[in-house]
Amino acid sequence: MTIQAWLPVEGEDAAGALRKFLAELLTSGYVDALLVPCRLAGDEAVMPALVESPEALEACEPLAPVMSHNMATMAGRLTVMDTGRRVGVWLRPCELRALIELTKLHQATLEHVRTIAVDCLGTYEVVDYAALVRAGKQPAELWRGAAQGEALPADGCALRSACRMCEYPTAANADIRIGLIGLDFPRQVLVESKEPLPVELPPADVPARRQEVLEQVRARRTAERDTAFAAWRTEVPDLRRLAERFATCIRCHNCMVACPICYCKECIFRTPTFDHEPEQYFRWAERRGVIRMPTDTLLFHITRLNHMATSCVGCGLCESACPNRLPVATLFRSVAQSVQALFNYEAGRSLEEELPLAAFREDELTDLGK
Amino acid sequence: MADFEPRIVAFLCNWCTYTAADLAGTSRLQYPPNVRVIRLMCTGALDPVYVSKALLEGADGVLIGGCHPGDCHYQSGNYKARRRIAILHTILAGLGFDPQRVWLRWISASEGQRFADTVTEMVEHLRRLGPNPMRELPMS
Amino acid sequence: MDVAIVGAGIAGMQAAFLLTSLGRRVALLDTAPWIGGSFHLLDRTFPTDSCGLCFMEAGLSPTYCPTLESARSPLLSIYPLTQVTALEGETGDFRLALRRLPRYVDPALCTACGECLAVCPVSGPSFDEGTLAPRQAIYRPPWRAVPRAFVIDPALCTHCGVCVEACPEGAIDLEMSAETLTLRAGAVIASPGFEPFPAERKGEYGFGVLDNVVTSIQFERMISFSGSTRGRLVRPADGRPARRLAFISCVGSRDPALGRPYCSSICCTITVKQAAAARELEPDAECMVFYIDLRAQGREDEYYMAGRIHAPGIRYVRCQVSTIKQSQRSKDVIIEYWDEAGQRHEEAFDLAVLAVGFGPPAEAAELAQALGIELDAQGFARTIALRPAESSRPGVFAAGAFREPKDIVHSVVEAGAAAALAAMCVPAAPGVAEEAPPVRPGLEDEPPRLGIFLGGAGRQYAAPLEDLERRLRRLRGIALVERIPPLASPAGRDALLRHAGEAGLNRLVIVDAPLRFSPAVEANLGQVLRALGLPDSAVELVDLEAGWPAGCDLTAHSANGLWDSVRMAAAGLLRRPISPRSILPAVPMPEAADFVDCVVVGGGPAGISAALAVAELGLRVLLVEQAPQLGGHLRELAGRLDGEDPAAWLAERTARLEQTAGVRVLTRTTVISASRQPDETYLLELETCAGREQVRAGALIAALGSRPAPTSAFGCGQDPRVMTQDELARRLEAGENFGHVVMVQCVDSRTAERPYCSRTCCAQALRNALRLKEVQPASQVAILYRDMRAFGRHELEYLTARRAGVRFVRYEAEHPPLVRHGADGLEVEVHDALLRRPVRLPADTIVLSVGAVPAALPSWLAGLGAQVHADGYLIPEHPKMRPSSLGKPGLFACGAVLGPCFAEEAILQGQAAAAHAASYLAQRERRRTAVESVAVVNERLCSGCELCVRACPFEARVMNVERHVAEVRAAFCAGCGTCAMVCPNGASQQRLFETPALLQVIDAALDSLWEAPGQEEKPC
Repeated sequence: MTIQAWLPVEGEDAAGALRKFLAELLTSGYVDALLVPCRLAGDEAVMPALVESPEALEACEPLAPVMSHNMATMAGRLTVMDTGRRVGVWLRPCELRALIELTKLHQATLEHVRTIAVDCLGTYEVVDYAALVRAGKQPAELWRGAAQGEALPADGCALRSACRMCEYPTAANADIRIGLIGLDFPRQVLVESKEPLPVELPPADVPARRQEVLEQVRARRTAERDTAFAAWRTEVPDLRRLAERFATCIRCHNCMVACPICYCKECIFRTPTFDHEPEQYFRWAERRGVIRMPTDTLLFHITRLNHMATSCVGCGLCESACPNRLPVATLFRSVAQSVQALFNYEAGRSLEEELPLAAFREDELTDLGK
Repeated sequence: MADFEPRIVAFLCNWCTYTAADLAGTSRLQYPPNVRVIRLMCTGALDPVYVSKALLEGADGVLIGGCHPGDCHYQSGNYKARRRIAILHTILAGLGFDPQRVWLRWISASEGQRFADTVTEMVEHLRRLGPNPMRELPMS
Repeated sequence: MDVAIVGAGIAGMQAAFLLTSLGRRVALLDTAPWIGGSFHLLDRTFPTDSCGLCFMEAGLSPTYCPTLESARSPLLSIYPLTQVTALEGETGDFRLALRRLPRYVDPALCTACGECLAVCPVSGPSFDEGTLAPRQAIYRPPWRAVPRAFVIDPALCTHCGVCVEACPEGAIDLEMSAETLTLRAGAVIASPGFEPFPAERKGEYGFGVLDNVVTSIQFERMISFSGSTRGRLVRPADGRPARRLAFISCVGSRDPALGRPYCSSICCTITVKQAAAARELEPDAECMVFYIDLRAQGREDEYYMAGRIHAPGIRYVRCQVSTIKQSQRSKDVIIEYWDEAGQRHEEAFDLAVLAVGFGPPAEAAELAQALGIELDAQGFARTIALRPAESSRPGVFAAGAFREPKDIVHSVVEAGAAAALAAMCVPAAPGVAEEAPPVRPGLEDEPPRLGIFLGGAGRQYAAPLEDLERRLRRLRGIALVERIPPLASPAGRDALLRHAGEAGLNRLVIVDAPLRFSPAVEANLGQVLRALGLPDSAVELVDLEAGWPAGCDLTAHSANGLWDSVRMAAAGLLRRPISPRSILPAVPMPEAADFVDCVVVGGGPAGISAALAVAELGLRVLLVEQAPQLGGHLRELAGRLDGEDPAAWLAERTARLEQTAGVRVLTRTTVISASRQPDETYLLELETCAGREQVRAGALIAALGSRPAPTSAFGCGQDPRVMTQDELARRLEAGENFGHVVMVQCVDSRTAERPYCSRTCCAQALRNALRLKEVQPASQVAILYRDMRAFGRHELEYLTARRAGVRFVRYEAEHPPLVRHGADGLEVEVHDALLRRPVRLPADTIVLSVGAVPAALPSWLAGLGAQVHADGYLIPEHPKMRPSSLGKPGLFACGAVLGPCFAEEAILQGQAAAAHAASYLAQRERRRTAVESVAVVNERLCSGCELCVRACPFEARVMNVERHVAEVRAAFCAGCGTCAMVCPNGASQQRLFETPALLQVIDAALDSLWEAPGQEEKPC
């Protein structure tokens, strides 16, 4: 980061300061449009929005701890073909990592994108966030533990499970990074940028405490993550237990739809590829006495893992999308972590590292195959 | 378990291992008849979905046979396959499947005996492991 | 015929491929009952240690084994068991008199069922494995032989006639006799190969007398999984495991007393390979190799050996073994030897392997007489240094081990050169464009009608087929189940056609044996499909013989394996789209003025030969050289090379370049950049003396050469009395006197910094030493060497040099020579490894063999995708099978840029690269069918993630940037299916292996798991 500066905050309105900053990015012509989270209908829902008018940024909710979609998916929609328009994209760390993976998968182009990554202490499920708003909570209020690196669970609501075990409170490789953690929130908002900004900002001398707090968050979350992974492995030691855990999967494909890495225009499981002649189902049932309908549920999940495990960023939207609350975020992340470790790969870490699915090395994995 | 006959689905590369299987057959080599062979042009063409499907439908083992490293008829298909199988092994292990039911072996066209030996060894190994638990579960 | 190729080993087959791809009709002759030569013997071949049979090239895509591919081409006719008895006429119009020996089995009728083997009462040793694998008088040819029909060995056959009775097809006729025929051809290539030295002639090694002494050929079969012991090391005496192995080098090589004075070149590497293979098969095997010199033939071999000779369990002892004995009781082999410290040892081994040398084939003299060509004193074909592929008779070319023993790498290159020269003698046959047979109209709308046909001759199949038929008849969804005669026979073909036609079938499953690798089956099936108007995708073959253990009881087996296999075939076929193979359009090369067919970069011997050959094959060529004159390193070679004057050769070739139409030569010119264009041509930017120029080309040949390694060792460059071999040769021709000369080999070579051997230095030192002795006989000449790598005929020069008084002193790498530069003379001190003490040699002149380093490679080469070795040389696509290709369409290389080589080898490589470039262009310029398993992309599903683009090794997949979808370039598709694997949603598919069909096949493979007895008769 070449530039470190403080964003002027009036009183304690950190969100307002961020809105003003975003508006300046638009008016100065630094970007042509912004992809940011906004309140578009009522206060309870915060959704991705593409904004060209600075006035419309009034509805922007930069600090709302809720993630309805992975913003990377939306950024991909805008940039899969480069239109030449410069767009600033507001991203949480997991969303930025997803966007990097999508770029490597040619589902987004970053030539004209400015990534603006904001510190994140976790998000609530969409329904929980709505309930919190209804109960009168302001987004900024939910951030009050930021100085200590704690997003306090609001009454009766827990952070999404993926967020509870997310060890990425801040993004490493954004064009612009918005720092909140380990600072005097909400009076201090840090802006770091790789290139000169169109706004004059007072330079910041970042307190050492920020790094300490970030480390604490990482350590705490990593421990929670490892506990969750270990618990999963104990709970599901074999196929029978796996089948039990997936007993309520209705193969609705919501996890696939929500997943930022599932980029296929049409999933192969939505094509007739795996369909069988009616005769086949009857024959199976006759032979085996019983078959589960629909078939190929586990095949769907295993195949999806084969496709996305190397690029999974652990955003956990699969679990948020699951109507039957299957703990798929933990499962998919734990598998993805082992898979990525095979190749010393970390999804979203860098644009340069080759996708494991697109590469091979002659001297690797030599104990496999004889 | 003594009378348990493991069922192996083998995906063999056209140039090396399928030809080795052919040689084993034409040379009248002895090996257990537990393997069902599916020919592919290259192990690099083996979509992991085929392996997963065979396991989920009750195959006790899946054998993937290709050219030795460096010998791929298509330059590097076997290296690509090796990576995919490593990924699949990890996924299967993470889900409670025994990855040792999926074998990757390099068997060149002239190694008919090695093919026969591999099948024999795998059948013994699977006998020790016992039937694929999926056989006992309602098909899903 | 356009070209007759005499000898169908690796060289003959490679030449045949290239010639047919260049549109020439070829007759491929061999005295053996099948084609393939010695290739059938080999399980693994250096430098890759792979069996590599599948890598022979036909056209652009990798194809299957050489034997079958040769059999497939419509331009190729195979003549097994055929000798040439006379050759009349001249280039362009030869008449060959042929004698065809009887096979006693009609290949058109024999189905290789094996009934005859069960009854034949006589047996004897086989040719390759001797008594280790006895063979009956009637026998099955080596696996994958073409033709595949059985053969009777007249030397063993007693004419008892029981096989005639046993043959169900009536294919055996003991009354067959030899016939004579005549063949016309425009050119002839002689490539009859080699014959191993008969080891029993080296009596002191006891082959044929001692129980546990085998030849390297027998051992080659022993380490082969298809050989006598199926990859197990055993003692022939008692079948016990062989763990202590002795390898004896130079048996029948470098042995003037036996009339084998030359070095067989390849045996050292074979031994290295075999010892390593023995350790791989039996990790506790102890190998001891007795050798004289370790002759790696240059860079590749040096690398190959480096990792293997110092491996654990392998000991190398520099000692010529005088006799081999045997322990009466244990039958152990006993070898007495002296180690390098002079200590005597006697050691027992389980097995002694004699690394036999290689001589000309037994019929070489007869063949030479028939062809009217000269042989050298050793009985090999005589060619001269700078015209290495040309025999003494115009229009007759020589290739492979017939010139002298050599490995596959060099044989394949020579075959390419011979093909280029032969092709120049005859015009291409009028274009035979491949066309997929037309498919009957409306096929795609027909509902599936599947028939299952059961062929299979031979008693062993009768019961299982009966059982299978009974069960198949109860399957629903099958239109027809029918027994037919074997498909390899005309009766089988006719029955299949009749039944399938009458039942209106559009999908066929054929259960038969043999099916794979059978040209007869392929031909008959092709006829049936054409007649029915069905594409190849409408058929699945289930080989009764292959793919499952035929060793088990077939009757019991049919209850599951065969039954499943048939249903798997049927299930896939019912789910697969029945589509014809696509036709690739011809891509004619542009006529534009700035376009040439081929650009050759580098004007040394390789580049000149390549350019001239390309032009003489009728193509437009541009030769680019950065120096002011053509010639490259050849200009540095003073004196004569095997009777040819390099300067005269250069003048003659330069003149021919000037006279040949379609040739343009640009000297003082460099290529600044080169890129592949969307239309698959190359765009080059040239810097000429007249300025910059752009040129487009269809193919590109890199012939950038190498250069002598610069050195300052021993004061070279400072002290005028120290010089390189090149300089010595030049000054020697100028008449200078050098007094006493000491030559130092391997200067800066075979070191950690430059680990390879430069191949040519030992021979150059010998030539210079002999020349010195000739022009100034009073001079003392000494050569200090590490291994005297005088392989092949150079061994004769080594012999002559020793006789002429040249002193040879071996030194170890750890004790390099030291030079004292005195005012009145030089003195070399070296630790003589043989005498095990230092010796001092006074000298007036010191000559250094400095080796070669690669030319600096231009960055555009890497940009085009050429691979470069860590030592700076280019890496060919495949060292054995595609040594001229750089792995990218239309990009080739030749000469020393691929590794240090002799001038004659550079010439051969240049001609071979020309043949490959011409073949590549010819393929593009004619209509042809895509590979059977060609890839397709469903644009509707494609997300443009480019995983397939990155996975395709053949550049057959490109992005359409505007539509953001991937596209197939079918002309480059090799049909491997990797693109289909990486595609997450099946947008990328491989013909014949479509995902839905494969999923169905997997279902069918597991279906019988759930079958209770008697519950099986369910539809597919």
